[in-house]
Amino acid sequence: MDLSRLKSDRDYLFASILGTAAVIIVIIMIWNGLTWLWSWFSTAGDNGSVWLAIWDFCKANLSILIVIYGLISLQASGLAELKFGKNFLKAFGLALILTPPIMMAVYGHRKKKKNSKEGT
Amino acid sequence: MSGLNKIVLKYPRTVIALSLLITVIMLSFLPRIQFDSDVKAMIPDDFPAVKNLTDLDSIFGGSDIIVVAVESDSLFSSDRLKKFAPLDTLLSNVEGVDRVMSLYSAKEISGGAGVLSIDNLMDEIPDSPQGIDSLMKAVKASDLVYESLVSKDFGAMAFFLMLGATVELNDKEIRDEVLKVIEPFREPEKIYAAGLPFTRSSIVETMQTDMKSFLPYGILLMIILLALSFRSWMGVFLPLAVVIMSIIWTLGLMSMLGIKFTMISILIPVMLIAVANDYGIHIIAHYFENFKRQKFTEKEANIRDTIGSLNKPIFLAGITTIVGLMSLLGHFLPPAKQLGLLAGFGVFTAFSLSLTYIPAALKILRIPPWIAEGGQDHRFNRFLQGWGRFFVRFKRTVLAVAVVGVIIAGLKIPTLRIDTDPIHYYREGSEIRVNNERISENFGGSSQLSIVVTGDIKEPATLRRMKDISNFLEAQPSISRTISIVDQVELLNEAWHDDDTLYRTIPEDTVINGDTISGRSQVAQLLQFLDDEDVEQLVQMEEDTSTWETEFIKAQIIGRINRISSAEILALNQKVDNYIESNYSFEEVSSVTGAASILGTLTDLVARGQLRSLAISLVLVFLVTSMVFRSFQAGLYSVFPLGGAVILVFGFMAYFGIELNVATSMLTSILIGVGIDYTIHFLWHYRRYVREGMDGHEAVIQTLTTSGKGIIFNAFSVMIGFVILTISGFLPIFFFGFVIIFSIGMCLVGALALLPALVVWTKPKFIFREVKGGS
Repeated sequence: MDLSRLKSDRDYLFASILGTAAVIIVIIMIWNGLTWLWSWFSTAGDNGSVWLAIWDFCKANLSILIVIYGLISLQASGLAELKFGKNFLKAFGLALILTPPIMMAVYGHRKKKKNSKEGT
Repeated sequence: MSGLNKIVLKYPRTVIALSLLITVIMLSFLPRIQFDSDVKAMIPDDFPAVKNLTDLDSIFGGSDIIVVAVESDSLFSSDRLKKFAPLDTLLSNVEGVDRVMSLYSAKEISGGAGVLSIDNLMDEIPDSPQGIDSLMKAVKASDLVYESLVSKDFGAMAFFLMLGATVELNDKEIRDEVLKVIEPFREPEKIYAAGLPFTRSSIVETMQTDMKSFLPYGILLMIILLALSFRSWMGVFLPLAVVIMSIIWTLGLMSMLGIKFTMISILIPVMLIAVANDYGIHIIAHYFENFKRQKFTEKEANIRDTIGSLNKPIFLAGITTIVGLMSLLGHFLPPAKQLGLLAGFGVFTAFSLSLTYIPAALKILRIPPWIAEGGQDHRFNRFLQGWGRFFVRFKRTVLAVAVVGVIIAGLKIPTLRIDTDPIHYYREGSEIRVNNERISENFGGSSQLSIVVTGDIKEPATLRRMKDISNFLEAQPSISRTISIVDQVELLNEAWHDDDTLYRTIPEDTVINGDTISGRSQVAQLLQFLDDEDVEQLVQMEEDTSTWETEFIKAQIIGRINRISSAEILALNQKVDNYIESNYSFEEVSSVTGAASILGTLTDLVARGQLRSLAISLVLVFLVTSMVFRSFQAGLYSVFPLGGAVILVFGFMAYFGIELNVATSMLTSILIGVGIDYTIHFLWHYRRYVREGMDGHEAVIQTLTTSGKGIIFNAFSVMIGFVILTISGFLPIFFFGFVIIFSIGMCLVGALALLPALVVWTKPKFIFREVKGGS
């Protein structure tokens, strides 16, 4: 946080105050979520394999996992578009099909290649 | 540029942080949301049917029953009867079950040689074929058992689980416990279990499954649609953020107000996914378009222009949608009112965030690098021009075809059926429906209606009154049988007179050796043979402190109903109520109540609520558009395509056998709330181009190629948003999905085909009149 900017920029000051309150609430919610996850994880394996329980959990919440994956892909392709100047739709397609890290790696690799060509 | 927009652009980070803070606060309320599957909750508490049912439950114990039925070709054999004997005890041990009525616990009232005895019908299970034969004869002779606990063909027997009303019962726990008990008894015999607690717990599970699918898959569909449309992260993320925030705010408010999820309110997130992105889409499209046309190169100027030119249409579209949705507040069903309120709040949130959060985010975010490379979509423009020319050229034919179509659809409307039976929420062949149908076929239904009689129940005159009502009920084809204390009194009287069937009547005053023995004292004497638990579900007992005698002050007559439609139940309710009203006062005999009567009342409310909310929404939309265009004629022109769409939709439903139910009765208000946007956008821009000097034909083409694109894109995004409803586990929601897509399509055709033809043909004054100070 830029302290000097807090004094000069009222927008930055208000946003920091509100943002901090929001972050605190999010931390509490994440903490509660982790506590629930921990208690679930510690009892999950009681009647069999933990992996089986995780698999069942994933199956039961498949739709939520899919949309989380979709959102991560969206953010990654946004990064590719705005940071590397790539075509968003292509990046999004690649992220969905190949997973976001592979998409980023592909673009990073191409960027390196381009840079090395420019260098020679 | 309004003051609010100036503040947004001056404090963009604050606006974003505030939106996020409110979102996380609202998010923290979400885990508290509860589900309500009770059909009773669909009806206002002050309605007689609900009040009577609450009273009934408090007096006679729970009106909820669970029926467990065993079906086998050779059920009446020693082995089978022995196998299922423990079920009676095991089921009565289930928490929440007051008592179990079955063949194993059934009583037989018999008399002879001056002795009246009440024994178990089956003291022990017979081993020999002769014993089984005599048991079957005894069953056939018992009115309380035959066709009630044992089916007519002896192929099935039932265990009726009477549930207590004194404790708050958890439907799911009871269902799971009952299923656990019956599990070891399955195969090779078939066991069915049904009843409202089973239906209610299934409804909750289906609601949870639907919610788990609707939100994620709806959001995913929207991401794909926005990605394909804007081809930019910003174009996807900002409208999506508005949708997600408006859903969280709305559900947070729902939780704060203590409103529970019902089958209807699971529509709210889907509606917001479909509708809430519209305003954001318009803003982003305009913002990008300005950059593409190089109207602006600097962000802030572009945002000012975008918001300045879209403020009014977005405000109007938002207000008319809110007004349409809020018209559901005029509906009779509380969940419909809640849907109207919450969806209206959601749309308000969406359009407020679209005018604050999106401009603030646009100011902070970088402009996509490719933005200056865009171009016009000429093929789509050519299509729209051709479309406009066609409908303007053949305007009379187009309007004539539309009118004929609407008339044909209107003629079909009287065949539209209404159905509120929760069993019909599920597909034919589903376990819950099969179980109910089998039980209904064998034992005359798992649903019942009740009538409460007040007075001195031991008095023969009161019993005769009850007998008359029972006879009237049994004369109705939809009632399989009735149960009341009168049956017990008659059987006891018969047994008291050495099983002489002539005495299967209510005792009368009798003179013996010159002494008159009143009918009342005979009834009182006979009833002493019964245990309290045998009658507590049929009469309300009260200790008379002067005589220390137990008096019966209220009694209920139960009518078991065959599986009939809820519209038939409504007709039955009305017939029985008319009978009661014309023969008795409501002080001595109550109007019809019971779980089945709730369905009948619900049917009535669905039909009346539909008409009321439709009328309110049409009137409100008429008034709002009249005010916007300052002309009642404009109001009529706006309502015209919507009215046509409503008639076509009802005709479509009637033609394809889609019933009007608690979900589809929300349809017209949503249709009008969403569909009015297209009409307003068209008329607004058409009037603008006419006033700029274009003739009627030219203005149509210009309107279609400019705002027409937005209208089409908007309508398709709404339709795609609602597509997700077709994966619902509930049939009403599944059909709602289809019908809403059809109806939005009709509104689109109304706004972009019929309205152009109509305005070009009739040249309405509110568009073509001279404007002061210009053309």
